[in-house]
Amino acid sequence: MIDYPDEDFPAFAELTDSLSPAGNRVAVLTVTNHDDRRPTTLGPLGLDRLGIALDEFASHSGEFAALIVTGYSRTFCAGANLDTLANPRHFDDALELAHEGHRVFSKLANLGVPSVAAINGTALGGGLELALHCTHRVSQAGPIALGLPEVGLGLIPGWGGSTLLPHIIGLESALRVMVDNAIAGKTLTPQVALELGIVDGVAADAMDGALALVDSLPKHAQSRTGVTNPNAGALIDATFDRYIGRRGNPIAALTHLRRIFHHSLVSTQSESFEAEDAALAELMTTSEFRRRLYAFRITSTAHRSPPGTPSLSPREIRRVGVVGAGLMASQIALAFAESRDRAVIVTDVSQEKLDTARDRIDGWLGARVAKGALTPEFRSETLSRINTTLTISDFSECDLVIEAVFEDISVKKDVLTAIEAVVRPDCIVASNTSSLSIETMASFATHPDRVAGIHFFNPVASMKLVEVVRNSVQSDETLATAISIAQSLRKTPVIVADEPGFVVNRLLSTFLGESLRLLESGVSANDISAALEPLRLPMTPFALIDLIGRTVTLSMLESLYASATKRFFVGDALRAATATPSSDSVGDDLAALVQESRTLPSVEIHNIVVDALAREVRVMLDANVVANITDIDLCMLNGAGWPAAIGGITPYLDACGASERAAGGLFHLTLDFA
Amino acid sequence: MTQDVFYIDGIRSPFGRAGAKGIYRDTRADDIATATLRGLLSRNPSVPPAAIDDVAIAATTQEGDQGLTLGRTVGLAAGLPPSVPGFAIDRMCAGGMTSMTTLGSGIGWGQIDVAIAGGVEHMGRHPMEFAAKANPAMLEAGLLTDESLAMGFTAEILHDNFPTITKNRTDAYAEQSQRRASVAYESSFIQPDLVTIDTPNGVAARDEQLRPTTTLESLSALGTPFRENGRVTAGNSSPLTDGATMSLVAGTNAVERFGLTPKMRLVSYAFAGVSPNEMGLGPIPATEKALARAGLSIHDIGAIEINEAFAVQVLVFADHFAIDQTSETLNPWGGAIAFGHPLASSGVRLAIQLARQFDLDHSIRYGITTMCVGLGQGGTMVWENPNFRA
Repeated sequence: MIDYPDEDFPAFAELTDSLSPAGNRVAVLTVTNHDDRRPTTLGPLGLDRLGIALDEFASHSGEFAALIVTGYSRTFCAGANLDTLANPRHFDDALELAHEGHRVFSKLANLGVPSVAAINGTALGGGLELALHCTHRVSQAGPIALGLPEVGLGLIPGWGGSTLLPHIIGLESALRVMVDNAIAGKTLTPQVALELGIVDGVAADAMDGALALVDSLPKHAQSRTGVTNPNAGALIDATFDRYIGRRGNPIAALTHLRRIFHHSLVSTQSESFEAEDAALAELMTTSEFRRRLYAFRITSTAHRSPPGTPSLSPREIRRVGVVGAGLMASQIALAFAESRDRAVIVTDVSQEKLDTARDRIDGWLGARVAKGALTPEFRSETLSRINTTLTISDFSECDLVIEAVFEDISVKKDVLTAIEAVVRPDCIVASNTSSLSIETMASFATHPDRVAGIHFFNPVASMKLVEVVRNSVQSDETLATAISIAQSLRKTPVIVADEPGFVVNRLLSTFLGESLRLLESGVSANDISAALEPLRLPMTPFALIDLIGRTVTLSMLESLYASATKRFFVGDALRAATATPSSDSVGDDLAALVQESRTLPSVEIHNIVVDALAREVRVMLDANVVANITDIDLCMLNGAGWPAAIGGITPYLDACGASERAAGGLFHLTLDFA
Repeated sequence: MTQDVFYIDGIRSPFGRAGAKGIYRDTRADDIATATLRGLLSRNPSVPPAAIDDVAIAATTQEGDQGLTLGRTVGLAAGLPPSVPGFAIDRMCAGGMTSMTTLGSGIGWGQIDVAIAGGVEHMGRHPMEFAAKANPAMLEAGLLTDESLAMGFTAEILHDNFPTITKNRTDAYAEQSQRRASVAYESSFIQPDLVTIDTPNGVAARDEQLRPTTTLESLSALGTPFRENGRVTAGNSSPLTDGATMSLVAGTNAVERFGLTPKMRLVSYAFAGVSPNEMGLGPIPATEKALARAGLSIHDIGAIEINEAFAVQVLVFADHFAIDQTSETLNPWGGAIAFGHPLASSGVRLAIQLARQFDLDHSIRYGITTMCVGLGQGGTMVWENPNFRA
């Protein structure tokens, strides 16, 4: 057993007796941490206890018809204990932890009687691997998540999953579970797991199902079938090729997994398990894994109320008014209309704009129906919850009115005045502004305490972040309600100070501004983009400007520049390229406008940009723009789509030295990201 | 000054279906309680009404027609002289039980000689959605959760946390409860302790929600309202119920002075807390505490009347004390799954049934009444049979 001093909430493995309906004696092994507020995970201590319990059962397994393995509360087993996974820095320790999982789980195949996993709840990662080592599996019906998400964390299923799953459900399905779903962050429902063959049955009660299964089992366990697909090699390569080329993806994990898949076609099970051990140990000791783990942790707890949420009941929001019918407003209207208990009303200055918005929303819903993600009924019901009007007085019954009109303070003032003239005094009035001050807007209001900042990100359907703006004039109830609104839309709210650009647009402005500054100094767009490759961002700075649009980008940069001319940059080149665009590519247009030409070493370009980011993060922390540094990373992960591979941003800034060069020291003093 | 505490007698209203189809739909909660108290007084004529020292009546949702200090108002309405005081009690489902323990405690050290302890709940008029709101700070801190505030969710959590208590087992237990209640009715074990109440919708003379035709098949077809693909159904839970219960409790002084015949002697009682999420565990620590106070073990207990809010919660209790779920010791006449569970009334119903068991079987010496309580509590009373003959 590996000696880790601080394994919190270690699992126990408890054996009890039970009887099947036909009267067969069955032992039940319950894996439990005795705490129903946190899922049971397996670390070295829990694994050790599991091994002891399995040995104890094996010593008199002849008295039983089968062993049923089950979990506690709403978890079967949520996998390896992430704290202990993050612990080993040395290859040998990591190898031993990987090996320990195999040593213990393999006992399930040598009990002399069948073993049935009664999957009563969440079975993820090492938890599902525990079930895969059993001879049979029954899942409870309902909202239970099954999956092998390891690849998404930069690991591989290393306690037998990489080897066993292809043998149980075939190569093609195994690739879907371990690669496609893991990278997309998707899990399987019990019904899909049944269709794929991961479980043998789904029952209203997992234990009832497992007990019934015991009565139908042949006396001796069947041997597993091998992988027989003649095109296996080509199929493996085709799947992995699809993913390995994408920069944000966990390339090292994918490469290892590909090798194990190929290996398992020609090797024995124990050889394949050894290959899993080695791959897992190697991946566990990389800094990318530690950054991904950090990102996983902050995003997986982000549905909770953020620190600073006032302790009072938020208002109920049933009727929502949306002012504006543009792209962003349409997405916001749709997000609200997807709640069954809400009605949405949209207004704009012309019927034509309203009709366009309706068509646009119906188009999005239609595309999701075509993909099979929505039923046609949901589409029509959702659309029926959205009404349009040209008369703002129709907003009189709204509980919330949110505006997403043009980012100009005088336009906002007019809209705010018009809204306040018709709504009830207790209606929350919110702005989706990305850069204007909510407090300034509130100064135009009759009831400034109810003015909220609720900033969504494009595309609203997939970006989980909502920046909720706090300031000194709004009431606690307004802030609490704004947070609960974001949560009700299944978004992750982060409380941000009422400062220009909040978090995401502020750091994007630093990132784009420094790139533009370099470009105006004569460095080529290609050199800049190449130098920033190590950040593994979804796109280059110039592609990002093309995506956002030059007008919007310019307006964002100008407003940040106006707030602090020393730290931000706009530059005449972008102003000119926005005023008179000559191509679809801002990079090309800018290149044509810049006279100078110079080359800088890649590392220098890279450091100029990351150092500026580190400086800006430090300024934000000092100014209490957010409560915790994790909020900054959460914003970049969920609002800008910056990758888990860099932990959002600050783990990378620590790892590449930017924090120490430019921000007076590491952001994370106790975590090692290098 | 101390004296023994006795249960002299108890009676209840027939339990009605809560809601628009129930027999009490047009009857006030305090009128059900008043009719029940009158029934109790009229069959205990040897106790002069003016001698009653206090009246405690419990309700979980104390508002409207069950909101005006019930012990006082119901006492007056039932014809007790104005000199008899009264008060109201709330410990959610254990309200009636707490009426008995509170007055029993006063009796025990001689401050009360004879008193009325009862409960009423008109769930049709006052569903258990708290008019009161939970403190959001407690929710934020995790002291309470949305799940802990809705009892059906806590029952699902018990299923989650005790995987060997399966839906097949809870359904089998529910079927047994209905079957046993039906046999108890046929044997007339229940009817002698019911009052008859005139209502605008007819005469209430029998529990309204018994389902003697229940089968395992009919139970397995029911939906799970608390969770998609859950295990708790309308069949293996107690139904929403309207009803009232009243008991007469007295000490040695009153027994001697008025020549009363005690049906049970209170040996000990205890309340205990558990996690609000696992509300149904409550009877386990409460029973352990009460047994320890009595110097008894579970093996000394010959009859258990446990409230069946949910079958799963009964089975957790049974498994803990290694009692077979089909044991005749455990709710031999069925329980709340069949009769109904008008929250604050039920604690006294348990005593009524235990007293009648004591009367019919003098070989039983000790029995307990026990129940789970919302927000994570349990209550247990240990009783001795005065007619015990070894």
